Amino acid sequence: MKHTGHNTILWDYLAGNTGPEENERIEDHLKVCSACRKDLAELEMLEDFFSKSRAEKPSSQFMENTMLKLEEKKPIQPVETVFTRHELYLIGRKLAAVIVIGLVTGVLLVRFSSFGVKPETQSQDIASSWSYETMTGEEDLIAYESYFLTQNSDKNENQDE
Amino acid sequence: MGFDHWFFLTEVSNNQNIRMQENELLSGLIQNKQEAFRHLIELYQDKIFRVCNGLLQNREDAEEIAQDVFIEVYRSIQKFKGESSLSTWLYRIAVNKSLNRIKQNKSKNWLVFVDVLFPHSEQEAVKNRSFSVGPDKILERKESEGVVGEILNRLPENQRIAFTLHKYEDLPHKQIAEIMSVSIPSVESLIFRAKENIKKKYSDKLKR
Repeated sequence: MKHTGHNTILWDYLAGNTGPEENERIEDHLKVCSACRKDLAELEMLEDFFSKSRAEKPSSQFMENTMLKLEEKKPIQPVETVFTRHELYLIGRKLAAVIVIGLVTGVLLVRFSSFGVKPETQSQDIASSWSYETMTGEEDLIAYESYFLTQNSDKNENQDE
Repeated sequence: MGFDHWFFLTEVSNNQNIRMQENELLSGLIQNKQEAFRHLIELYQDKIFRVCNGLLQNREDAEEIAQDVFIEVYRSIQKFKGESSLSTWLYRIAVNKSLNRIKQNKSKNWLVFVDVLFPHSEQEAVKNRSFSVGPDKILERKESEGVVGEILNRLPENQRIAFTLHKYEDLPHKQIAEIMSVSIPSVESLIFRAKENIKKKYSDKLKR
């Protein structure tokens, strides 16, 4: 008997998984090989442990405890879908088309309308078109001054009247 | 009619009976009938407990995880597509849940070790000193629980699963392959290596 992987053969022999011919061969070998006899003895101890473990059973309350736990937990119900997969695919396709058309229309509107285009002529009334974002420094000062002057001249005119 | 032929027919009719019983059981489970679940537990409690116990090497944990397996079945029976047999599905859940528990236990052990190293208070430090969970004590406790259990705990995960399903449940290699989602030759190789490892480590332990 070869010694490579012999533990597995001996294990099978112990478990009764070997045929009569192989049993005879193993037994003949065991008569002359002390190393294999030692291995067999150790495997018998291991096998003893596994047979004891296999015999272990859950406690007598196992069933009742499990049933109690089951009553606490509710089963997960599958979500009922309103649409079939094909219907969802069609809806998705239509939705995508609407989004694409919307985007294209938006781009065209921005491109060909006055929206977002910088006006070519500025208003005469600087004060009325004054904005914080568009003017800085000197422009600010000019705008403020002209606004102030306009306000003052309006007041003067009112007083004259 | 020869004996072999008669045996083959008996085997086929037995398989058909099992399949019919399984189908009936399955329809009861899908309808969430309490009796069907009771029957399922009766049929599989020992098997599932054995697998969990083989993987966890701890009775209390094995019982808790086995209960969780049946709860999981109750909760997700609607997801069972019937691609594998009911028993294969159950074993797969048992293996996954046991592996999760092993991971949880490992992180818990690590936390205990950290707690011992860095106690929050002097009182806790005294408590830790008196009930030391140092490596020596852990080893002692494990030795008392069983040398073989310790060897099994240290086996690589795949070898441990294949060996447990083979040794504790005596499942055919084909079913083990289905449960583990690997090929049959891989299962054979895993079992072979597990046996060699266990024997070698056991011999080493006995020599010490």
